[in-house]
Parts: sequence; C-alpha cells; structure tokens
Amino acid sequence: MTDLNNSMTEEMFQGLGVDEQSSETLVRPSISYWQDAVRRLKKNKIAMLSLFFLIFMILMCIFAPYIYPHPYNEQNIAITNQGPTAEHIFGLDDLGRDIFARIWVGGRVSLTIGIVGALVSLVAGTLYGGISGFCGGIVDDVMMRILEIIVGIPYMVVVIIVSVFLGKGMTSLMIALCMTSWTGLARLVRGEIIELKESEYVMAARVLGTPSFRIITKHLIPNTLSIIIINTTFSIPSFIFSEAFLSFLGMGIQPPLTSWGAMAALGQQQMTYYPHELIFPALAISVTMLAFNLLGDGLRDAFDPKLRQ
Amino acid sequence: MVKYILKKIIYMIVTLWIILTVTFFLMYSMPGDPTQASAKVLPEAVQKNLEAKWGLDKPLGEQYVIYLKNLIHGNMGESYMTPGLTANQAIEERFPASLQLGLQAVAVSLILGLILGILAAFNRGKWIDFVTIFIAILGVSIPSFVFAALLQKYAAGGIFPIIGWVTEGMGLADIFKYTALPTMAAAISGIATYSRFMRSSVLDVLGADYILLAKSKGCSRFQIIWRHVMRNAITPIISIVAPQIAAIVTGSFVIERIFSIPGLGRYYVDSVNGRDYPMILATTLFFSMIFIICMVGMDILYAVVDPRVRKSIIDGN
Amino acid sequence: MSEHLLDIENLKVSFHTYAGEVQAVRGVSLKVNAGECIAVVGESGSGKTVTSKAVLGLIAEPPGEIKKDSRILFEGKNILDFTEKEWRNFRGKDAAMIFQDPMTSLNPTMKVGKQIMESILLHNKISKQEAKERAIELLRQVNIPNPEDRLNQYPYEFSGGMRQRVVIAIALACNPKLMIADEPTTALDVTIQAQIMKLLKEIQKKNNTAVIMITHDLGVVAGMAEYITVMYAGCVVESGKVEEIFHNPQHPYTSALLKAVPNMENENKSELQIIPGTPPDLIMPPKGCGFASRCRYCMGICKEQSPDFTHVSESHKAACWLHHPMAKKVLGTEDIRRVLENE
Repeated sequence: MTDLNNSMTEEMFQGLGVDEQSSETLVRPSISYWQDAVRRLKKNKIAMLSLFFLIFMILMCIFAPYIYPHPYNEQNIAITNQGPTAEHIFGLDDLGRDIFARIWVGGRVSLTIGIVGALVSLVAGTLYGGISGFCGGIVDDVMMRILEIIVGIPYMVVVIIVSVFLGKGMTSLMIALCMTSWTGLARLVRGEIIELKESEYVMAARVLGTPSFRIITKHLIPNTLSIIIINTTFSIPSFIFSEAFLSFLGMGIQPPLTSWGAMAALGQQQMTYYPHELIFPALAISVTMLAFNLLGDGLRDAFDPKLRQ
Repeated sequence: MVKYILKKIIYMIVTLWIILTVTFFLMYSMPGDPTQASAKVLPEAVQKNLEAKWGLDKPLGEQYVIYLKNLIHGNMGESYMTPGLTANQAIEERFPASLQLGLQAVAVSLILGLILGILAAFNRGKWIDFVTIFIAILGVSIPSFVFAALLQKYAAGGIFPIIGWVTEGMGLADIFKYTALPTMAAAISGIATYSRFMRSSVLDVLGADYILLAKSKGCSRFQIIWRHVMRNAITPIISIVAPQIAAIVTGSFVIERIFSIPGLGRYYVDSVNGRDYPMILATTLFFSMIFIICMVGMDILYAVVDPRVRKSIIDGN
Repeated sequence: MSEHLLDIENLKVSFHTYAGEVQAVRGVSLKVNAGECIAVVGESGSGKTVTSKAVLGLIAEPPGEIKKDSRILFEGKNILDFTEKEWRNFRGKDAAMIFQDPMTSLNPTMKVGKQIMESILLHNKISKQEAKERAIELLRQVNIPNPEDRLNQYPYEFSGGMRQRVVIAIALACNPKLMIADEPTTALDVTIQAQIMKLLKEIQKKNNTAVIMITHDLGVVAGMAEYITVMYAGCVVESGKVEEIFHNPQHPYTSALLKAVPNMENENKSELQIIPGTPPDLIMPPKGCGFASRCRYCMGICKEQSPDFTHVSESHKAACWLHHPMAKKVLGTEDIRRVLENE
C-alpha cells in the first residue's frame, strides 16, 4: 500500500466520468439460442460420433446392396449356417443366405419404418397438439377426450387388428405404429403451447396487435421446436424397436423381405449352434438404437435451457 | 373423489366398448371366412355346419348383438381352433403365468430402477452414476428378445433351466430357478427407464428450495432423502409406471415365446396367426382391460400421493 | 476471542461453471452481535445470498467452493471447520434461515404441521404431542388463525403471505440465536410485506434473536435494522449504522442506491434515479473497484486497484478512492461531498 501511495500521482485521481460503453459490454459473447445449441451439440463428442455412425448406417443401407457381390436372397444350400469368412463377412443363415447383405436390406426396412414413422407421428402429433392447445376451450376438451380414448388402446392390439385386416407386412405395420405413436407428442406440444400462450411475451405480442399467424410462426413454433426435435429423435428408435419386436413374433415383415427384427427371430432359433445368426442382426439393432438414444440425449442437453448456465 | 373414480370407470368402459366394436366389425367383415383359415380344406357340408354353429350365417349386426349379450353374461365365446375350449377357460388357464411374470418383472425393475436412480443422483459424476447411465442406455437400446436370448444362451443350463415355467406344487427354490431368467429379461427395460427417470427426478427435487430449508433445519442426509426427496421424486414416476406395466405385459409375449412359458401373450400371438377370431377378440378385450385398469389406477394413485392433484380433482367436481 | 455472535472474516466463495470460475463473494467481512438486526443490501448478483448460505453451510461443493483463508466464527468457533454432525446441530438450533420464495420453500407433499414439528423434534428430546403443541403455539406466534386446523393442511392451501409465516415459524422452532432472512418479502404483495416485516421485528425484539436481513430494497430495512452493510459485485463497499448510511453515505454506490428508493416525503424534490449500466461479470472480476465502470466519478486509480476501507466513524466505513488524501488534493472537499451525495 505504501509503495503504491508513493507511486500514485494526482493524475490517477482525475475523474473519468461514467464509462457506459465498457459497463454495457458483456464479457461473454452473445450468441443466439440455436447457435448455442448447435455449438453445444458439436462439443458433445458422443452425440457427434452417434450422428456420424447413423449417417454411415444410412449410406450403407442405400449403397451396400449395389456394391456387395452377394444379393440378399441368394441361397447357398451347400454351405448353410456357415460362420463368418472372408467371402461372407458375417456368415450365412440357415438357408445359406449372406447375412452381411441381408443386414443392409433389412436395415432399409427398419430405418425406413423408424424415420417415416417418426415423421408421420411428428406431423400428426404436432398438428393435433398444436390445434388443441392453440384453440383451447371446447375444441381442446373434445380433442383431449378423443386422445384419452386412443391412449387407452394398447398398441399391440392396434397392430393385431390392422394386421388381421390388411394382412401382415410393412404397410400394416407402419399404419398400426403410426396410429398409436403420435399421442405422446400431441400431449407434449399441447402442454407447451398452452404454457407459451399464457407467457408474458406472447401476451405482450397480442397486446401489440400481432396477428395470430405471426404469433404462431414467430413465437409458438420456434419455442416448441426443440421438444419436437428431441421427441422425434427418441421416437425413431422406438419405431425400430416395435418393428423388430413384432417381426420377431412373426407379425411384422414377411419373407422374402426381411428386417433386423425378422433376422433376429430366425437367428434366435439357430442360436444354440450358430450364434452369429443372432449376434449380427442384434448388434445392428442395438448399436443403431444406442446411437439414436445418445444423439437424442445430446440434443436434449444442447436444447434444454435449464441446463445452460 | 368417488365421483372422479366413477368418471374414470365410465371412460374405461366406453374405451373398452369402442375397442370391442372396432375389433369385432373389422374382423368379422373381413374377406374370407375363418372356417377356411385352418390348414385343412373342409368339405362344404362341414363348413356350413360350422358356420351355423358359430353363428356366422347370421347378418353381422345380429352377430354383434349376440356377442354383446353373451359378453354381459361373462361369456366370451369359444375357440375355433380348439373346439370345446371357451375363451374364459383359456384366459383362466394362461393368464396366471403372464401375471406372475409381469408382476415379478415390475417389482424387480421398480426396486432396482429406483435404487439405482437415487444412488446415481446422490453421487452425480461418480462411478455409480456412470454405471447407472450405462445400464439405462443399454437397457433401452437392446431389445428384450436379444437380452432374453443372450440370457438363455449364457446364463441358463446350470442352475437355471433353459425353458419351462412353474408348475403346481413347486417349492420356492424351484419357482425362483424357473422364473429368474425370464423375469430379468422382462425387467431390463423397466430398470433402464425407471433408473433414468428417477435420477433426473431426484436431481430436480434436490435443487428445490424446500430441500434447502430442510437442510437448514438440521435434517441429516438420510432424513432429507427419506422425508423430503423420496415422495416428491416418486410422484412423477407414477406417470410412467402404468404404460411400463402395460409394456411389460406386451413385452412378455416375446419372453414367453423364448422361454416356452405357457402365458396368455403367447396364446394371443398363436390365435392371431391361426385367425381364431373369438380368441383374438377375447384376449384383445382382456389385455385392453388390464391396460386401462393400470391407467386408471395410476390416476388414482397420483391423487393419493400428491395432495395438489387431489385438490384439483375435488375442485373439478 | 470474539465477543460477536457471528464474525465473518474475508469470506471468498466461487462457483465453477462451464464458462469458468465465478467469484461470487470476494472477501466479505461482517460482524453481528447477539440480538442485533443488521441488513445486507445490494442488487441481484452482489453475493449477499451466497454469503448467507455460507453461514448455514448450504453452499453445495462442487460446484461451489469456499476458499481456504475464509473464516466464519459463530460464538468464537470457526463453523467452516464443522463436521457434518456439528453442522446438523448448528442448523435450525443455533441459526435458521428464511428463504426468498415461500411458494417453493415448503415441501408440497408434507403437512405444514409436520414440517414445523420436524425441526422441533430434531433438536429437542420431547414427545410428538409436545412438539405438536409447540407447533400450534408457533403458528399462533406468527399470527396464523386457527392454528389447530392449519396444522393438518398442505402448503398449497396457504396463501403466499401465510406460507412465509409458516417458514418463519419453522425458523423460530428452536429459538435460534441467529436468523437469516433472505429477501423474505420480495415475492409478496406490498401490504403483506409490511406485515411480515412487522412480525420479524416483533420476534427479534421478543426473543432477542439476531437477524441478518438480506434485501435489495433499502426502504424495507429502514425501520428494522440497526446496521447496514452494502454489497456490490461480491464485496462490501460500505457499512455503518442505519442513520449514517441513510444520511451520510460515503460511497457513490450507496448514495445512488438511496436515490433509487421511492420516497414519499421528498417526492417533489427529485425524480427517481436509476443507476446506469450493469454490474461486472464475476467470471472476470475487475482489477480495481467493482463499481468503477458505473461510477459517476470514476478516476484512473479506480480501474487499477481496489480501494481499502476508510473509517468515517467508529461504526461507519466505506471503500472508495475518494476518501484517499490524494483525491482531496485534486478535487477539493466540496466536490467530493457533492459526488458522494450524488447531487
């Protein structure tokens, strides 16, 4: 202190006045919500790895069947149940079909059901929940009563009814899964919209005379988008799961077409002696599910403003 | 409160009736005849005879009324595939195994899941937390049939039988042996879901002001967990338990099949594959009923646990 | 060694966040005598709540961290060295806390009576029946009508003001020597605010409890506290008796804060003044005085080094470079007075 006292000059005590400029400057750079979310997602190594893995899986499903020399339905009766070799990377199944080739063809089915199903339930759920929440009153009441009844129907029952009626296969599976899967998102979106509608900034926009359309596009949609994206990411694996499960029971994809679940079902019967027939399709399902779940976790962490500090 | 429960029950009946009606008309208006479904080609006379016996020769509307009348008397019809077997008998015979498997799986997954979730939340960032997150992610990523198949291949054979189920007169040790693996296989997804939910729910509650107040009163860690955290953290879990129970009941279709358990789920699938209409209808109705009872039970439990929900119900009436 | 009930010395608390270390409290010293009421005043983020939580050991570590050279003496013992068991005996019995938001500080699924009895039973060896009677008596003391019936109700059945009374009853349960009220009236209506303040004052007088009143509102404390400590950006900038702070502020921040209080008596005199700018980000605390960038009379030295305390009287001190002899030389006494009084 004394040292400093000696070195102090009168100059240092000259007034500088209010320096608003510097006090207003925020130390942390200001970035928008979406930029911040993307930045956080990019920093999340596990989520990014999952994302790249999924892109890889999708590309393989699209192109591998054209490049790989063995078609998925080619039978080699002489060498059935053969384990993995250089010629047949994942080995052969009980009819001598190449499992590697079948994984990608089956993957087409499984991923298509996952992605299309999730998109359909995204549109249906968002619209239903959005309309119900936005309109409120009697419309909301009636729509929610209907939803309650639909929720009351176990999805297994719907799958069975539809497959009894339309026959087993990809179409009926898709219809049945879509019919029951949108309810969760609809409830979420409705809850969010109702909360937003009562929030002060939407109230303020209303008072300022902002038309409904603008409120929807500028306030309601951007603010519900994150939960919709997160929910959709999680619903893709649940579609794949349901498909696998139903195909395993013989109620989903029918031969000659195949899917990961159908392959696992065949593999399970051969498991005691030829475990590779179960392990590869099971791995395909599990790792894909894992990647979707981890990506979903990453998205949720990136979007959840509560976790931001 | 009574009024609320009554309202819920009325909803339940309406839902069941809708499911029944839709299923009935879809199934019976289908092209083709159930009499042609069985593998054998029946002579025309036999077929006509069967149609008359099952009432298929009557108009659809009349069939429906007859079905409803029988249903009110508790008669759910008779199997096409196994003549003489009524749906009531089939359910009575098959359901106990499914119920036991389901209840055991729910109990195991609730106990393990909640304990793991709580431990993880209280030791955030430590090894137990990572183990829980790992289990939770694996549990939702590996389909139950894969898990069941793996258990069957690697864990069964020694103490645990590869297939089979409890039969009458078995001792506790045997019951354990026969049910342990299927129960684990059915419980894994529940363990994953509950532990994950419980973890985040406990973390939410731990951040609440009333936990700080409890701490500032001088409560010990254990007292805070027991008196303040548990009840508030478990409440949101209730909302996922009911669908989870339903999922375990449906999920056990696969497990019943892999472990050759004589349960209703397996029978349901067999009926669908054999187009055994009365059986499909009866089992659909039965499963829907269980599912809906779970849901209504959940709503009521919610009201019991959370005084605020109870109040909103009483106010609502 | 200390005749004070509570003696905080050089308290430093940091929080480790993803963006870096936030130095929420940067060397705060504070003394409270038995039965005395002091107010800690400052705007949000000034570190007053963190300070009060540190006194009850409620800072979660991690992400929080209390620096090693900090000391909090309660009746001469450094409570930062307490074991978990000593903390439990201390909390609730020796010191209690009233939180800001009564809507969230009661357990929603536990009956109010049970929440009060919990504290009583933890620190006294008495039967449940006795604890219940004590709880009824406490509810009566905080002016809740029909305490016998109210005991069996859940928090949602209480209004905000009533809930805060319950929280106060919980704090009072074991007659603590020190009560910390963290903005107890911020979340309440103005009329209820006055009632709660009156209640707290009565209790303080009757039970001879020391009270630390944390607030951002100088108006609230005028009639209640004997001493005021003004905090800014994690530091104490001025402290003194109420009259000294109100009539003779010695720090530009204090005087600016006083001008920002609506005052019925001199409404014609001046408009309500605001303090331009925002407090500094405590991830990168300024080298010099925390208030420098918002100060009307900021000098070169203010940005370079943080000022020491200058004692104006025995009880009154302020940390501002304007009190440095050199400042007087440059500015002259009259100018300094004008700056300090914010004219």
